[in-house]
Amino acid sequence: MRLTELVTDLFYNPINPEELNKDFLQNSMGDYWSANIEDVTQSSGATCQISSFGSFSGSALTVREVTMTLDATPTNLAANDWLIDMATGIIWGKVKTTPTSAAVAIYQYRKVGTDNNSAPSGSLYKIDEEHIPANGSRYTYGKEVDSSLYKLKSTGRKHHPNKMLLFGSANAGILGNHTLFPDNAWYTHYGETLLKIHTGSNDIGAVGPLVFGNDDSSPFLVEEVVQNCTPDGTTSLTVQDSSVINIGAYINKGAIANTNPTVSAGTYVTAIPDSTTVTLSSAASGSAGSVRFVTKTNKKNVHLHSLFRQYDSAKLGSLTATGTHADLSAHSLVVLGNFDVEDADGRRATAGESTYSLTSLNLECIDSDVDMVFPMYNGIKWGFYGTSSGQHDYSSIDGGFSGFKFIVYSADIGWRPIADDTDKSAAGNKTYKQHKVSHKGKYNYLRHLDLTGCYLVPLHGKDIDNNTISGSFPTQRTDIYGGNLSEVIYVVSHVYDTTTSITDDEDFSFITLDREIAANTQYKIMQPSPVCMWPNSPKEIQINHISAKYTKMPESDRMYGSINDFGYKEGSRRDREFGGASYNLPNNNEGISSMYVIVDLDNRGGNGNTVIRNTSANDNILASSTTNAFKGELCLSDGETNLVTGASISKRLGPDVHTITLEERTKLLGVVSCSEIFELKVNGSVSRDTKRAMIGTSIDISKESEALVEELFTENNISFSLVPSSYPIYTSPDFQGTSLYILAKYLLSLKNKTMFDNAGVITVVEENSSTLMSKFEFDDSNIIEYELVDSGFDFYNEIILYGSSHKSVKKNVRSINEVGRKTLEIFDKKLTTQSEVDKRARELLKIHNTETTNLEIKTHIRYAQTISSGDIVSVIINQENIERNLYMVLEMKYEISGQTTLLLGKYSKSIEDRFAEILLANKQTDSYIRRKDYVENEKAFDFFEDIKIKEINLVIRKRTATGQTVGFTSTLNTGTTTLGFGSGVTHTVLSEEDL
Amino acid sequence: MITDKAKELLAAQLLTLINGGTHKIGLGGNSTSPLATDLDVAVTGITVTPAVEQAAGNNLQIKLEVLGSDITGLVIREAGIFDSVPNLLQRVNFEGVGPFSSTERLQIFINIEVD
Repeated sequence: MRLTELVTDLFYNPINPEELNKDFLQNSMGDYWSANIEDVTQSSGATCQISSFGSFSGSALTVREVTMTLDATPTNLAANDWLIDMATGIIWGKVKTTPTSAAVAIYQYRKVGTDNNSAPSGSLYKIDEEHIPANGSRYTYGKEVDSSLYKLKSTGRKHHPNKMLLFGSANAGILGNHTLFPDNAWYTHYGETLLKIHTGSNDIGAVGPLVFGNDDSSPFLVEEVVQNCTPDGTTSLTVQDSSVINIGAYINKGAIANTNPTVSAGTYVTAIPDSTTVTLSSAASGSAGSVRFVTKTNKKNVHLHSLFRQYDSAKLGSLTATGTHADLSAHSLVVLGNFDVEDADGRRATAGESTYSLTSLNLECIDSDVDMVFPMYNGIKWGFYGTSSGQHDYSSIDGGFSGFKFIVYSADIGWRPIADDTDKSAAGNKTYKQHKVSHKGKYNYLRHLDLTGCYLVPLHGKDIDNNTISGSFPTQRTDIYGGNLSEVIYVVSHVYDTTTSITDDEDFSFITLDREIAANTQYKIMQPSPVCMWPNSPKEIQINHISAKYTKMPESDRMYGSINDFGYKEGSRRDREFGGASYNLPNNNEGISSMYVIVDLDNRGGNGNTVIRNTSANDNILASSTTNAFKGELCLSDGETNLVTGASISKRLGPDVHTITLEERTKLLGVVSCSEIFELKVNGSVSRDTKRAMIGTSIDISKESEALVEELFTENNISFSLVPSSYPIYTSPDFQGTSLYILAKYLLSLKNKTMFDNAGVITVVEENSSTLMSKFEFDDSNIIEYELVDSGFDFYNEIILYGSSHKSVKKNVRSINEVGRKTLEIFDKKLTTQSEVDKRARELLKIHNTETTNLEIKTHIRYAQTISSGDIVSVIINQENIERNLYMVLEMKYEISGQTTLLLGKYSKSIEDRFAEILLANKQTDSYIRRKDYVENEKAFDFFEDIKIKEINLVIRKRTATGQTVGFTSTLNTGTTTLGFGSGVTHTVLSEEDL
Repeated sequence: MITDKAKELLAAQLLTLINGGTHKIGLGGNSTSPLATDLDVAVTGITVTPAVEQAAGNNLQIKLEVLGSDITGLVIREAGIFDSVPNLLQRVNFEGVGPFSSTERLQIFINIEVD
């Protein structure tokens, strides 16, 4: 599995850093509007209270007018202001005319209160008419007094959440200066430089995609105050009233020097000692005169969206906002691609260029209307490294698709020290660690993100030369061989703290980790990448190695290699890798890092981790020493794509790292299984496009429908004729209790076929085959007599059909209205899909809902010699105006007179099947409800051989002794035979017969 | 196909059964019901001496002999083969034979074939 750094757009939406969607646009934030709700005050400053209401007038259908009496005359209520109920946050009225007394004429829209049925009472609140947006905007109203309103300059326009303007220098004398860049479209359009406020340290920066409009209805942004001031030649400046000036306020928007008093460009207020004095960042001289201070209004604590809270906490110009919601010191900015901008010049932004860490969100004036953008500085310089100032490229400007990356530093508050009460018992006798981290300050990004399922990867390990990279100071973050120094940590849970009451604007996240976070260690935030391997991934994959070389560049098939600095002419990341001059400087061009880890489902590593965290556990899985390397073929599979390639697995020391070397690569998704090749012999060939064989998988063995019919007929010794279709349909429905006839009909119907008895041979034909057409016709010429008779076939106008798991209801509404509802409920468990159930229900409704009168005709035998029951015949009787129609011969009666009576039923397609089904219905029901768990042999053959015990014959004879006996004639003892001899014995057959 | 050996073994089993039985002759001459359990009119108190031989593999020849002194004046019309239980295994009825004098002996031969 490959872990890749978590990257978000500038609005904290997680994005895939390997795939850049340049065409994506999100709705303008200007579509969302929040109102500033204010108290309606009286001259004393107290909030006005509602005393009573008069009688309503006007039409109830439109707007009702009423006079509302307050306890005092309001001082800030004007016509068209909206009246707000704070209990429910709804607008309940509108001021009709600006009041001059305590009686206020209003339009009342509705009642209020928690029951939505009370008259407004108590304190009166309003939204100023100026703050009400034009129709078409989306209204979202705040409920709090301090809630703020934001307006974007480009209301209604969509923007790309990653688009930023990158520039080599924020210096007002360079960027956007028409003198230096005559073709500068910015200057041509606006007649002034891009950014008005700057400091020398912020040489290179980036401007975010939002442009805030500034006007009187925008308390969030910039206020301008003009005062008469007197300089004294120092940084101290005497003003009329310092209470309306904020620390950080710039003079003349910072970009323009002031005359009388003389103040240089970029000067701002650093302190306010007393009510008439301010301290400036540079000395003011000259004579007294008016000075325009530009400042940002004080931030509000209540916002409808946390992003607005972040923007509101931003400081003007280069003032940092660390410790606030605008703190970006755990953020770094990374370029994913570039786009053309006006006056693009110099080096182009390329993917991978990134900052070390930013400082805070800033606001800058960009034109004379003091519209605002938010540039981001990294506190040092964008892309700066090296000591050769001559290599700096301040003049470059380009558009850059950029994103945020984040770090966690365990030395910060909330992460360590680990308190005992952070222990959380978990399944498997484990103990997790829970941290409570504030959103106010460095980790404000936790408010916008859910880190559940991410990994904290320590920047603590070895470089390629086995030098230890300290976790406390990330001097080299591009290539770290993670070993046993610090382990990867899994974020089990990240939830918003809903238990701590918010007294200020500070709230918290609870982050539960599966192990203790190491002391003084920087962690990258990584998450499983949707793509494990790309075709151009390195051949050698080092496990637990943090590197951008495993990450694909957006808009390219290549992986990150050497990354140039945006603001540096010739430098590259490689300068640091090989001990260049900037080797120990913060790495600000690291690209997007990835790290391969082993997923160990069977605990082969031995420490119970599903994702292997350290080198020693990898010893048990990959290679325990440098001498027992594996070499052979491996199969890598993501379940869809298989890659069989020659591979080797080895281990090296100093730094300790396991390497998997693959001869071939391809795109593999998610968690890739890696296994040695072995042969599996199967009985027969695998004819389908089978991608994988899984041990233990469950399969559904089914046969092709026509092949199954053939087998069933053959097994039951039924003669049949079937020409298979050229296409297969596989099915395996539940056939228990189904008769062979219905089963065969169903299987054939899947291919739009049916069958009929053709002189003892079941013949399968297409449903539309001509063999099913009628070949007999009766009309006036051969009908002797006819009679309409009532049919025994049931009439239904509603069919409810239950399949194995679907239900279909078909009804003839017209018939229901005429004769009432007659419902037939049918259970047919062999129907397994909704379409099958619907189709069958439709057929049944057609059959049962047609005319049920039968026709009995008499004809001469010669017209019906070859007709038998079940045949389809055509009948037309012009005399009685009976139109030609198809009938089925239900019954035939032959009479001695030579006449034949045919009972004909109105024929409807598949009605013959329906008859068969009805006949078999009871048997089917009994069979279906029998138990399914009988132990039985699928094939049982009984042979009956006879063994006969046969009586052959009977002989009865008489034995008689004759003549004289020589010797004794007496018998001996008790015997009956006489002693002596001489007498003869005669046998006389009395009877002899064969039996 | 039932083999000859099977028939031979079955005949031997039948021989064992018959050898263990006490056989009877009787006076009743009606035809035999398959459900019959005894002779119609068995002559009691006499000794019927059997001699059962297995011949030609699957043939049995049963000889029942009764002294004329046991059946003096009687007309014999039936004979029965029993096993040791006794279950009636076979009954044959025939035209009456007799009467017999005391010096005569009645010998009844029944051939059975297992086929």
